[in-house]
Amino acid sequence: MTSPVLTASSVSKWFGSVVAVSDVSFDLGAGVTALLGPNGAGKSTLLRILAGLTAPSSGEVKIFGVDPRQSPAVRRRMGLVPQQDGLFERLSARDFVTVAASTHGLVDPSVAAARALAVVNLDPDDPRACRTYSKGMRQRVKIAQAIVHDPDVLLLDEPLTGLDPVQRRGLIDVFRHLGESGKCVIVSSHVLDEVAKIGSSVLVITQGRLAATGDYRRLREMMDDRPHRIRVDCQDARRLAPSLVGLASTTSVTLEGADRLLVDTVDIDTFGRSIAPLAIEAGVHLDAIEPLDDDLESVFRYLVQR
Amino acid sequence: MTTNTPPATVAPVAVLHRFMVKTSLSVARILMVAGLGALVLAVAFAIGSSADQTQTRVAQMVQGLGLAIVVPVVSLVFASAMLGDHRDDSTMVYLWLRPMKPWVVPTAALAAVWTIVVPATVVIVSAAALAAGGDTEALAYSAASALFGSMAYSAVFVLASLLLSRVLIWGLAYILVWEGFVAAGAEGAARLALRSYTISILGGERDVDLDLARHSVTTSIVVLLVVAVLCAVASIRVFRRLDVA
Amino acid sequence: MTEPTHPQPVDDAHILDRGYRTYEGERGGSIAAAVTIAVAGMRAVLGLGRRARSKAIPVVCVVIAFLPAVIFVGLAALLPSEFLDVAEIADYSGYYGVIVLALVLFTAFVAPEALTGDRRSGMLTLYLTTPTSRLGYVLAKTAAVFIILSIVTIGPLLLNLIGYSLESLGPGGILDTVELLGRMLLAGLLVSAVYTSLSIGVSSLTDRRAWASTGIVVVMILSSVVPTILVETADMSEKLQLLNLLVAPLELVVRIYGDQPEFPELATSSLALACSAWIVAGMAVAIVRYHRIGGAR
Repeated sequence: MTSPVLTASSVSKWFGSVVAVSDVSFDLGAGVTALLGPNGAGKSTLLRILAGLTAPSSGEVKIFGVDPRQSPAVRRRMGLVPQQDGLFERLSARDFVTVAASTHGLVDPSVAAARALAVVNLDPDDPRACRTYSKGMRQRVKIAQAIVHDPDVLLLDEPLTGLDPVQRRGLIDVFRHLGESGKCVIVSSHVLDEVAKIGSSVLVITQGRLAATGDYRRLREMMDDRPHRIRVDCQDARRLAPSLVGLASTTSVTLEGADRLLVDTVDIDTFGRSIAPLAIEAGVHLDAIEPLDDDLESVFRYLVQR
Repeated sequence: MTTNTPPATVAPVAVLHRFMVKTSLSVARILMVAGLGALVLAVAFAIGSSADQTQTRVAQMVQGLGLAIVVPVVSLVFASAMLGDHRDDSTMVYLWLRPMKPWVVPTAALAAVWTIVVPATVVIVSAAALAAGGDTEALAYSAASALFGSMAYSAVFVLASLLLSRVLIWGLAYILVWEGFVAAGAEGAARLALRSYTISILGGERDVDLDLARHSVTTSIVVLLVVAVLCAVASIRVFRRLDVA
Repeated sequence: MTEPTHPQPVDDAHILDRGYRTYEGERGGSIAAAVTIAVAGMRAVLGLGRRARSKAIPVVCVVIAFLPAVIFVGLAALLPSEFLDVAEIADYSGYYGVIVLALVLFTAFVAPEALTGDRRSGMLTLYLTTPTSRLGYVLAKTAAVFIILSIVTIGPLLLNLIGYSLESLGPGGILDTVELLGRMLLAGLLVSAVYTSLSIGVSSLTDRRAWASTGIVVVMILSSVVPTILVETADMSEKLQLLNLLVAPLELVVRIYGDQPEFPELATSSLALACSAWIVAGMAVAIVRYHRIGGAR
């Protein structure tokens, strides 16, 4: 494995007697990772620690091997979309992003700002001040300032908030593209189906603790104590059902009409290997097999509700 | 988007300075300074046209309006806005997260405050001294007191804006309660009030009778400059350790 | 043998929450609404229901206002009567001079929260969607500030009166006591009215408490310093002190108590007119401002 871009080692953060983040450790490389968790789980605090905006109470964060709080050089390679709505209200979007580009030391800040605004589908020549912008436009200005200097690490705290579906789709493509081009992108979001479209790698945090990390489909496979639910469409469901009940890993079989079965199994691999031979043996033609609960939302619900 | 370039410091100071001057010069603040200046000048003209106008009276007017109100209030209004507004509206993240040395942002902020406040206060106070019938000495000491006073007040309030939220209110409380009430009545407290040093400069080596003028001009200038430098250094240290929301 | 009874279905089905339901209770009317807004205003001013530091300045103001009264009464109780000059210690009209800092702090730093908080948080929009009129809203908020400020202006003097009376240092008889009480109320309400209208007037111009505080402090200082300088340094008429917010109301208080005036050149009627002008000006600014602004920020 190549050396990780971002490392969190036993990171904790507390405010008085309130523990916001507790003993969180993980390594992240290139690609998009979704930071998931219920409200108040500690996602924003963790992102602030990763960005160096606040020091951890214990533990350490390294980006490219350096503490981001101490090193301006690392901040040059990092972009952040903060959760807060505040912008420099009296500036236009172009001026706002130009200030960001200038303070990043870019050679032609205004051109870079125009390019970044175009990426988020905003008009660089719009003279209006940011205070007149809608929530969605403000959100896109925040994203533009975060990507204007082409950062290697991009931290996004609820970046899709306030955007309409078309804008969301566009930005999801941008984030996915950044991840595929070798950037380390961390996206905190509540919108799970959209997170799933960005990538499959997740960090799940609940009550300040890291609940799971990795590809959510792999996480689903590891959830042994929860049966997988699979829908089987076939020509004669009633004839196939007894064969499926006979499998040791099957916990229930439900008939849903003449040509549909819902099967709960604790071993999806065994089910996958057995379904075709059993159908042949029963003389039943299979039309479709579809897992119903291995989506991100299902994994998330399992992890945070346990 | 574009290629990364090596760290730079001087250019960001200039960029931030320009940005901070531009964003802090709101219509409300400009009107406030203009209104204050107009009022002080009107009073100064009234004094200048009175029958028995003396240099002590000129100095008392500069003390009462210029050094007790114009210099601290104008300094506070702009110094509290430079970084304090960014703290209060959660936009500090856009300054703190940039790849700049820790001294860049506080230095740019202080430079921006001085760019606005020093000329504004020096012009108002000097013009008031002239309009009230002050001689060359009165003009020089008035200008010097406004110059060094505004530098020190600005540095103190920039530092305070990094340490406290709602620094405008705390700054007003300092001006009103500490300098206006406590220092006016207690010798020891007066030593901790910037006003006693600005008034001492105003008093100069002249024969004018001013309350709180208890220090020599040199001592007062040194104290005000030391306060400004110490606060600037402290601002850099505080900014580096800031917990940014 | 009896017929077998079929078990009756138990009716344990309940819909616990149907979301929004229209209010079907008694409606209080616009006066009740104004009272609600005034109570909310008083809570905002005192920082009730918020963090401890929101209560700091109100508490400091109350302490500064009451502490001298407590000390005076304590001295009256502890010191033998031969050491006490009743006229000196029971100086009701001069009390506001002692607690002027509390009055200024309250007016500048505490009272603005009554108006600015609602505009910042968007509550004003909600209030204006109710039958409450804009004028009713402003008057309710004014009443909130006025009532709290009156506690500061009347409370300590009442404490003094009670303390002195218990130590036999109070007024001679019932009639004198009632008369003093009347003067006390009139003077306290006057001071409260002037500073309330100043605070409400300036606060109505902004939704930021810090800016309101700055405006009030600047107005108070300028109204005090400019006339003083013009009178003392430019030999202008003493009548300019009618503009002085720290002189006009407190001098009128002296007249209400019938004590020796500090500014004998100023006629009592002029002082009353000046105070009335400040009150009307402050309220007019607030009413006009709230007539024009929208509900939202």
